[in-house]
Amino acid sequence: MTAAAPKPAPSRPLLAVRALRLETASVPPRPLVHGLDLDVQPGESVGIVGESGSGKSLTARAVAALLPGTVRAFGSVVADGREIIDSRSGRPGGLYGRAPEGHRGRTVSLLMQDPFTMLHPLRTCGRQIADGIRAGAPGTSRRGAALAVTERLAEVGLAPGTADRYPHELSGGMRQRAALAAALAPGPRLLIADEPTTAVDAHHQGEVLALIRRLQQARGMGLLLITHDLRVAFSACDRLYVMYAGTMLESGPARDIETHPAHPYTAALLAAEPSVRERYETLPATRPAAGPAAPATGCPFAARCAWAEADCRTAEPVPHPVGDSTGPGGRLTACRRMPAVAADVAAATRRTVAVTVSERTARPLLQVRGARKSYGGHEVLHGVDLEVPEGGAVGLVGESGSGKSTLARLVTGLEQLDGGRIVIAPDAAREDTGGRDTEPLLLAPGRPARGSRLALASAVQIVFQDPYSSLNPVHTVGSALREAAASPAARRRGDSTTTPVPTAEELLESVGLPAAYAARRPAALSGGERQRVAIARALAVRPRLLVCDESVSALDVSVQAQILTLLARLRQELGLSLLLVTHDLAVARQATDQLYVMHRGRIVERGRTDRVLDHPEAPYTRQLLAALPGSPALPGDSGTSRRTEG
Amino acid sequence: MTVPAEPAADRGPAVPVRPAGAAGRRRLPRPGLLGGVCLAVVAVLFAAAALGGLVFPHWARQDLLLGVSGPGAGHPLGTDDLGRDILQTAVVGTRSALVGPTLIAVGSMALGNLLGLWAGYRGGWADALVGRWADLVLSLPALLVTVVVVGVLGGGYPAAVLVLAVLSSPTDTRLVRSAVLAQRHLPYVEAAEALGLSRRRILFGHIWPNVLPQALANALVNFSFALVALSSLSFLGIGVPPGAADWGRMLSENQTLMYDNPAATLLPALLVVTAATAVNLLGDRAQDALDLRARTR
Repeated sequence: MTAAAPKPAPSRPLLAVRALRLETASVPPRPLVHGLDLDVQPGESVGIVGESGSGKSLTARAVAALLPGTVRAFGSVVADGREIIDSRSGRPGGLYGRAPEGHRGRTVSLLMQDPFTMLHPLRTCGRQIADGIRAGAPGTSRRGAALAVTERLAEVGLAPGTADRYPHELSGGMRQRAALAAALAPGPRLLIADEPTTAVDAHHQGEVLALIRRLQQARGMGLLLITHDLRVAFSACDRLYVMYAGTMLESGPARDIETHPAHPYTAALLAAEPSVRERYETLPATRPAAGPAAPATGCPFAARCAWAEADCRTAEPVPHPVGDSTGPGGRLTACRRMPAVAADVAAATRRTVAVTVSERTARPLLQVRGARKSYGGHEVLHGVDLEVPEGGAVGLVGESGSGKSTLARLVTGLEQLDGGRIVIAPDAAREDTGGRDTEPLLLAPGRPARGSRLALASAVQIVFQDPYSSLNPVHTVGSALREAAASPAARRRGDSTTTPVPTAEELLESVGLPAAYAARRPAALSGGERQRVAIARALAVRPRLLVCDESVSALDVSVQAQILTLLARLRQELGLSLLLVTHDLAVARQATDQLYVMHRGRIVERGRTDRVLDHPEAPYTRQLLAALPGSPALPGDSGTSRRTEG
Repeated sequence: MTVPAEPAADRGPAVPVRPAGAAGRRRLPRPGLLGGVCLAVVAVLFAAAALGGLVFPHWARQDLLLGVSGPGAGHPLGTDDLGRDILQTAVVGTRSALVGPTLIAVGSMALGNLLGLWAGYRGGWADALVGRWADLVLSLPALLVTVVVVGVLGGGYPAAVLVLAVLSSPTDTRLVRSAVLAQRHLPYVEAAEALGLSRRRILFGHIWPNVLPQALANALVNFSFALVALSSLSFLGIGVPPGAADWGRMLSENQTLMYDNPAATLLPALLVVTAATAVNLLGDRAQDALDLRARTR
């Protein structure tokens, strides 16, 4: 692989990774990263993009000499002219596995995902930044350090007073700024930012990213940005490496990769990325990873690739130049079929913009009127109105703390109203039968009677955000689904209809999972599979409204596309209505017809999704759109919309 | 309000593509050398408790002419002052050494888990009530209270077991309560609530299995505490009637024989320490194993 690596530019690269191999220290070792080559030139911004399990975070840790003790490293990592991997011990070089003096701090510095865990909760921000300053320049006087702290804070746009505050006193965005100031305090030549915006509110993502980019350019510092989000990578990086299952699949200038992906995986990732500007007929998702982990030989993506041939499964992928681009910064792809299938891949991942949805005149299934809710004397919902039409898909967007999840929980009966009311329309399909649910269900403040609770449960079900905790770890998938199908809510729903209780196997099939999964426990499932099971569990009740509370936001883009496609199919097949609660405007654009924008417990804008996102009226909606990574000031006023095929 | 998390699978160590194929099947981790030894010790002790009386039906046969004697033919570890065989007495005494602690551990676990589940899930006044009860009981010196209750009111061994079961339940209660609080608002519990499942079903079918590893580990700790406590009571002459085979009683009756036959006191002392240690270590490992079972990929 080394032979195919781009020759370093005349100037010595700031970071040169050669044939980096990471594996677990277990017996037998499990490979985590296979022979990676990577360069960062001084002042260059380089991104590693990959989904969960791609090995991108471990690569970053290897560079920072912060590998956990359970991982062994081989190959070479030269940072600022010094080797930091000891190939014999498989540990960071030097005695006792320590990184060279000054490696962390003066050479590289790490900015982590979660600013709350990165900063020490019991020390003021100022002291933590001062620590970094002393690490960079030992012997700095107390007074000098204090001055430098003020400077660093100003650099990230924080007031000098922030130095005396503790991390918990800062908002999420400010905390990440403070963490950035601490990471930059020693004056590193290379900043490694591991998912720096993922834990930050959508509202602040754009500005944090822009800040990192600006400081990187101002300081002439190298940046190695680790992210799962293509939008983030494109907006902040000059050059990208695309990783999958521990293998580098493609590298090259960000612009080129964005417009002409040279690997089927990258093309699929781009196609799965929802856009805030257009709605597509479907997001062409790759087939889900099936079967056991990546094979030991051949291209790791072969199992999911539509263009894989027999050779792809046996021959090791070797990066080779794309077209005539050579030299540093050139395009490399690890797809052995690439020049040949490029046109096919491009055609297959082309997306067609959906025809504008017709105005729905369906009667409302769910009506929320003047909903109020307080926690501990603090009102989080100030009289919210919301409607979900029968069979409709409604999005509810807003930043965290806006009250959107509270509203979702009220509608699901997990919380009780403090004011206002919620009405569920009678079930039209049963009005003739004269049975249950022919009267509208009214929820008023206070704890409803068990009958009303069950009526609500049989009409509305919820799918949560975190696929890892939404299934009971000790129950098998089958028993969870059978329990749901036999639950009081499902029985109540089943009383007046003649349809038989669905079996676990039928439910699994309806969400595109093999029936054999019934015998598995959640721990044996991937995140996307768990979310499918959670959806199947909700469907077991045959609800009329499915509430998805950030249900796709913890998933990888390709998995997210699969789940969105699944939800669209279920809506069509079952006539299900959807209330999609999300912070992600692009997801809302793809999956909803109507949109409500929520801010501080109030609905600030509502309307057809395309109209709200194309022609926002509320200042807050404009702010949200402007905060998207890589977005121009406002959509509509520039023609830079990405990937406008079809 | 939830902050959008990173892509979920990034939490663990990087796993190529997805969890491996051995998926779903439960794999209990190997107990390791120490765990294996503990397991063997506990198995032997329980076998002795079950079969000791059958193997040595004549353990209580006295030989007053022989009296105390050191290890020798016919009596591998010698005899006590009544000429009873030390080894046989100790083996038969395993039953009273283990039955009491087992009852205490199970009883305290039942009481503590019920109260803890109720307090943790119900919250509010129930939580306050149970919390104060636990504080009150914890503030009592368990051994002293047992000595007083059994000594003054009588009732012997069964009474001692009952009192100790109640007195050791607060640790279970507190542990289970806090474990329930941690589970209480997890989405899987809320999903169960959204399905309209009964409170009993949610508590015992969903939450309790996830709390069980900790509860079980704590029960084993209680077991070793009870073992020592009951032996101490026997040593003080409370609980087990005179003449019965019991480690604590052997200790107190034979302490004067230290110079004639040291094994008569050292064996029961060693057995108490070994049994308590083995069960304690096993508790640690049981928790790890049970925890892993649910989280094994």
